Amino acid sequence: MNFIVNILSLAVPFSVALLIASLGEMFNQRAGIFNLGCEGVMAMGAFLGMLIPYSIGHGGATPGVYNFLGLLVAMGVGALFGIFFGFVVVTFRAPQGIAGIGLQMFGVGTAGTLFRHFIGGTQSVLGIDNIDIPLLSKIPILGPIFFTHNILVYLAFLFVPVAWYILFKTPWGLRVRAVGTNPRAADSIGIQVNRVRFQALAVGGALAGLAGAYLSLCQAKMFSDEIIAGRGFIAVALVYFGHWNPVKIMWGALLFSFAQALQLAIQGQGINFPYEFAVMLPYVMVIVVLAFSRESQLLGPTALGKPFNREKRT
Amino acid sequence: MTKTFKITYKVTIIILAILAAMTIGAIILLTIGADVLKTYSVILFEPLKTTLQLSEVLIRAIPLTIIALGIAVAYRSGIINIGAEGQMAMGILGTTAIALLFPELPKPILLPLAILAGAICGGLWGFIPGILKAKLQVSELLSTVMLNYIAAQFYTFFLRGPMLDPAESSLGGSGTPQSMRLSKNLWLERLPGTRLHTGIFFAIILAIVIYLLLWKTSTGMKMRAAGASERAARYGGISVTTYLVVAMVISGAFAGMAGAIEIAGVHRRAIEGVTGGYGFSAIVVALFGGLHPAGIIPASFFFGLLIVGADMTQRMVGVPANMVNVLQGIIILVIVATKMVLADPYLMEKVWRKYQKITNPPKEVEA
Amino acid sequence: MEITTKKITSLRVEHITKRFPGVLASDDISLSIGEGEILALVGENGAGKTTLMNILMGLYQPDEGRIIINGEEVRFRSPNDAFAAGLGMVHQQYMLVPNMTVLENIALGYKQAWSLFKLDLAMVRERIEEISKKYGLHVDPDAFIWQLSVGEQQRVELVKTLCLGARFLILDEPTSALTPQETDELIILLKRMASELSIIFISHKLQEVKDLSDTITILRHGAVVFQGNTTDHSPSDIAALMTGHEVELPLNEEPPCDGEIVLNIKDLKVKSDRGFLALNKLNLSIRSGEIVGLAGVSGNGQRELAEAINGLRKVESGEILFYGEDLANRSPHHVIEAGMGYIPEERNTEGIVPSFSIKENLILKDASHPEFSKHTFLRNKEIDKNATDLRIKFDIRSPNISIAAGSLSGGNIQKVILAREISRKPKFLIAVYPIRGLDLGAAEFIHRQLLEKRKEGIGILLVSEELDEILDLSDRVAVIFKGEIQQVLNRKDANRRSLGILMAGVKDDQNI
Repeated sequence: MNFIVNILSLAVPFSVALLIASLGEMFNQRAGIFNLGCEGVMAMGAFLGMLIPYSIGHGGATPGVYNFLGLLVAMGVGALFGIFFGFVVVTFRAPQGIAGIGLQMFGVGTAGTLFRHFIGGTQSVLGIDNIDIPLLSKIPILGPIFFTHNILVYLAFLFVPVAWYILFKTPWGLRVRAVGTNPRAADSIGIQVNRVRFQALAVGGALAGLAGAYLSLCQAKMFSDEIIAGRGFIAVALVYFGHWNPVKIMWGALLFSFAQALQLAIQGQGINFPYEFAVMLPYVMVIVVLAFSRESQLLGPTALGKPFNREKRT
Repeated sequence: MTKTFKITYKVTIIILAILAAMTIGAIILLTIGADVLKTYSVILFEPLKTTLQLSEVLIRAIPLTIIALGIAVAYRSGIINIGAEGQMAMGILGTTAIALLFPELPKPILLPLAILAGAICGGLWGFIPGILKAKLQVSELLSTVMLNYIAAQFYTFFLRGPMLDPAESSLGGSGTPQSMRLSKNLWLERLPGTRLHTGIFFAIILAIVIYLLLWKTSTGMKMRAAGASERAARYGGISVTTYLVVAMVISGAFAGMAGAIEIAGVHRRAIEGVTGGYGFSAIVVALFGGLHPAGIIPASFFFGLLIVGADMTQRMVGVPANMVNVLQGIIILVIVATKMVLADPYLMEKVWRKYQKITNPPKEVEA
Repeated sequence: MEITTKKITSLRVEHITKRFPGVLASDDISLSIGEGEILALVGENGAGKTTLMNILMGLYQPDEGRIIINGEEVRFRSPNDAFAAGLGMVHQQYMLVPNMTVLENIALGYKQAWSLFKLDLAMVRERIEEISKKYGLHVDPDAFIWQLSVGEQQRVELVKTLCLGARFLILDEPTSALTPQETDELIILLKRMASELSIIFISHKLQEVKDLSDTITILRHGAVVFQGNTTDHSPSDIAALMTGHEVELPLNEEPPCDGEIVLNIKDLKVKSDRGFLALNKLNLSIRSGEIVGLAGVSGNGQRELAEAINGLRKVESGEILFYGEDLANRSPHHVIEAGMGYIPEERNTEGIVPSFSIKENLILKDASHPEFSKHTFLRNKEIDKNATDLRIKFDIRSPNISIAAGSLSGGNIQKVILAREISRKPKFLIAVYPIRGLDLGAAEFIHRQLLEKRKEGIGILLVSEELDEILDLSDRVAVIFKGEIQQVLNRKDANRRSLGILMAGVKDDQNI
């Protein structure tokens, strides 16, 4: 029993980076943009999130403020990366798959370069602490699983219904869905397709940046070149898995983090199973999941990956 | 529209693209307080100054060429292979396995056999995303990335386990997971005093093979048709899915062979970090080389230069070698954007009309 | 721009010019329309009708010229400006988002219902009800667009345009996807609406133009060639002005043939992309040396039938007997090798590989044949010779045989496809919308080729939504409705009326 509770209480915080990044990617894809550069933006977020408390806040009296500032800077730069990607794929209409790989290399490379210059080696930060919610955390089983985490965990799960509301119940969400499904229709009634796509890219980038900062500030409490470890790509896969729906994406994120937690727990238990195969597990799972999740053609953004050109007459 | 205008227009766009790429790079360099011009000149010219360094550039160009050729085949057939890094690692494992199992085989047998093993292992690793895309429409972008991570784990598993150099486990050794030094019968000849090996000829031969395959055979034509317009190819009776799988297998096999050559020529043993990002750099090389062997060879020299140059910036101007990743990322983004601009007749016409309005008085335009 | 509710009493466009690369899409066009008038804008495909309307809606910016409403010049930078001025357009391809409801589609343009955090759908619903009542246009606000038929979608488009405050309607080929009977209903509705609105009606179907419009403007190659009152001119006058020259398309005047049955389709069941049954136990047989026209409103299974025969779509059940061999679920390659020729619907994306040269496209289906390759190596001399010959024989107008096929005009692309299919000496030919969007010269050429092949004893299945084309060429006409063949008529029994009734799904003429 304890073993399972342990796994689950690990799985919940593990899922947060995936969840935030996937929700960001969901907004991108709903607007018709396939952003494979998520990994790179997360790397930038992870680096910046740590840099602020590490360099400015070093020895500062209120580390909380600097942590918060780190998160904000990570989001801001993430949004800038999203907008930069927009110039390439929206303004210039470059093919999105390969451009995404470019953005990923650019982001990971930049984070690595700046990290070596500004921080150097393996340095850790205090990061953002877990909070045991009074009373609730004392509930047996459920307490440790759900109520002993840092503030971002709660916010991230709170964001799931918020994202759902934004997407399906606000005018902006309506515009996002329209430009991602039938941009010509949106254009014909006066919606500026490219502007909405840029907005979605900025939102997606900010969320990817936040997800990266979560990893460095809350999960690892340090930065390394391998900190993202493919989570950006898994986040993209989760969007397919979740059929562009926030709630389904959340379940996907939990499923993956459960596998990851399971892998750590197995090692911790000293079960004789090659470490490398355990590490492979989530990546294998992505492929299996992609192979068996059919895209539902009627519900998804059918203009995904297609640049919009009003004057191109087809 | 005059011909001079068209050429000037295109050249201007390419110059603007190069400037844009260098500016973005410069922003990063300025952020870390580096001397921008000096960094660029170190990267671009320093490696050319001595024969030894030049040979190092060529050494890197060899795997880049081979892998990029494979990526070009896949890209031309409509599938983007980002999994070369993993395919190369699997190829190295295959080659190493053969060399460890049959060290006594004479060179004319062992070497081709080991390279073949590398090609098969890499090809198999390319087959997986190919068949997944063909049968289950799994995005190759995601599956190949995932297979890179999986291959990396396989690689360390074998190097730490079954293939570990006995000297490492008994004597403590270097601490880096690596195999024992492979049989001399696998080694490629080297230019004395350098590490430059005969793999360079192998790369050139493969480039010719790919050129012939893609542009001179009916198979190649069908592959290009499948990549250029999947739908039209299908309507033309071409089995797009078959060629897609074939292209991925070729692509993977080339990455695997690149791994085999790298082991036989440079390292002479499997060691952690051999792949070293070649699989990703080769994507940039393939695009930069216009997905054509005649472009890929010079492009891999250029990127070999960047990689060696970026290693030197650390020592000479204090810029981390990761800068090469930054540049590669920018170059991809700039190439794909520039290609679209160049291919846009609407934009060219607009610019042409603006240009006419400036150079000619408006009344003459009417006539 | 402020939204006004003032009536549009006059709208004029003056000297509008718009250029696309290599095309002068609008050439100094002027026209004007008064309150409550219906103007028909007539012209062949590619004459520049849609471009002009897109300029009027702010989707394109004119290079020269101006738009004047109620005597004041206006500038439309985006469709928003055009809406604000009271203009609304129903595009030929419906501008609806399929995975959203009718309500959401209308809310998308109804900015009064927008606030930062909330979409006031109740307000939109009220507005829809109001408009529905006023014009007698019933729509279900909660239905998803993908659930609606083409006719229902058009109604949604009309309601949408009116909800957004249009006091001036532009309809781009509104009848192209409707049955003749639905067309009649639409015309009655539009006449009623003309009491409150001005309407520009784009069409190339002259009967509708006669029935509906007050004045008529004819465009050819982007320029106005005629303006006048509809009542003063007969359809044949208008036709002559529209094409600019007297072209008589060739007719099939041969006696009906009695060749043996070469293509026999039995109880064919095929699913559409959405998973519905697109063909439901379809039966059809075609003899050698006969042209069977497949008439029907598009979307009733025509595409699926052509794709199933050619091995491009899975067959659920049934047989496709071709010279005795069942082709159901064989590969496209197998079907091609069996002697099937195919002119597909989308010539740019299905017929040719646009980035390939003309000569490569001409051997696309035969790259591996010994004629063009030896030990897998391509025989460039033969390939060049083949292309040179076909270019002359099929009158393909291009600078050379090495330029990208995608850079050719539609008519020349169609000739490349036709040249490839016919030079392969097929035993049968399926032609889907072979002259759609072509000028009459190219259309005539293609029709003559089809008739010639018929004479040589080849069976042809001609899929078209133009009844004229079907009536001109066919020996027999099969009418398809909801994936079934309603009836097969001999040429002498087929006319616009009889086909129209069958196309609407009515089998028994007596019931009307």
